[in-house]
Amino acid sequence: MSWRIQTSLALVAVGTGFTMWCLIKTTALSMTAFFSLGVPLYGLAALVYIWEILLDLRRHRVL
Amino acid sequence: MSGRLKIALFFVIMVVPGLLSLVTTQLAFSRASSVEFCGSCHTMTPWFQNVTDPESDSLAAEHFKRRWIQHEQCFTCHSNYSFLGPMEAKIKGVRHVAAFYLGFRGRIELYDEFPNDQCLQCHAEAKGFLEDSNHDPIEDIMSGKDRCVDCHENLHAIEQDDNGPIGFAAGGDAAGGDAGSADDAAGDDADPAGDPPSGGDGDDGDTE
Repeated sequence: MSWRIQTSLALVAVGTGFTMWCLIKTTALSMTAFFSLGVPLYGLAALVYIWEILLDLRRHRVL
Repeated sequence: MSGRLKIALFFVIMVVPGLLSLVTTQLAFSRASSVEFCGSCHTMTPWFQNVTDPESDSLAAEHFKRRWIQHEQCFTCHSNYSFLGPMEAKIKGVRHVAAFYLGFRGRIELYDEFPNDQCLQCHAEAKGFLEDSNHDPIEDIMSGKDRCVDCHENLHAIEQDDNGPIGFAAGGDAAGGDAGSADDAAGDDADPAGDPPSGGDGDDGDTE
């Protein structure tokens, strides 16, 4: 498993932590953490994963 | 990497977070409309205490304790009724949290004057409102030329400290003033007809 996949999984894990905290507490602080940290972490994880997919496609000469 | 692992990773990294974000956003937005949520922010404690205080005669407290607004009392009066109104309110809320943690000091004030539309959403069709001679000419109220809060002044009985931490009362339970107006006036006294602060019919449980 490449470092990109591992990074994506780590980002998803941390983002899910913020999301769960928001779901359980639903306070102003937890909501702010979710929207300002959780969602961007998910987005970053998706970008890193897409990077890995593109490299994989290039490796197989699809791109 | 096997094909099966790729599919599993796609679900774990793309699909599950996407669905979780959608569900959390929806739940957070619906829960964030409650009065308890507004009160969960320490900055809002004075306003929360005033609204939920059965002894208070402020306009907000009257609406709360008489259940003129059944649910989500803060959100009902303080969010725009337009399509994106609730979203705008939430974005402003996030800005307020950031301002608090960045150490902003000063008075909490509304961005704009409190619009008549917020009151008229409920009162516009109410018989007591329409027939009250104090509201003549009623077209001026409907158009926003005459502002509801110019007469119904005691919105929240909160006194703020200009230089203190945002939102915390300077002390005492002083009447007068509100988040949008520094005027001080006693709510019922400000109403020439002696009506309850809503300007409506005044009966308990009357939701117009």
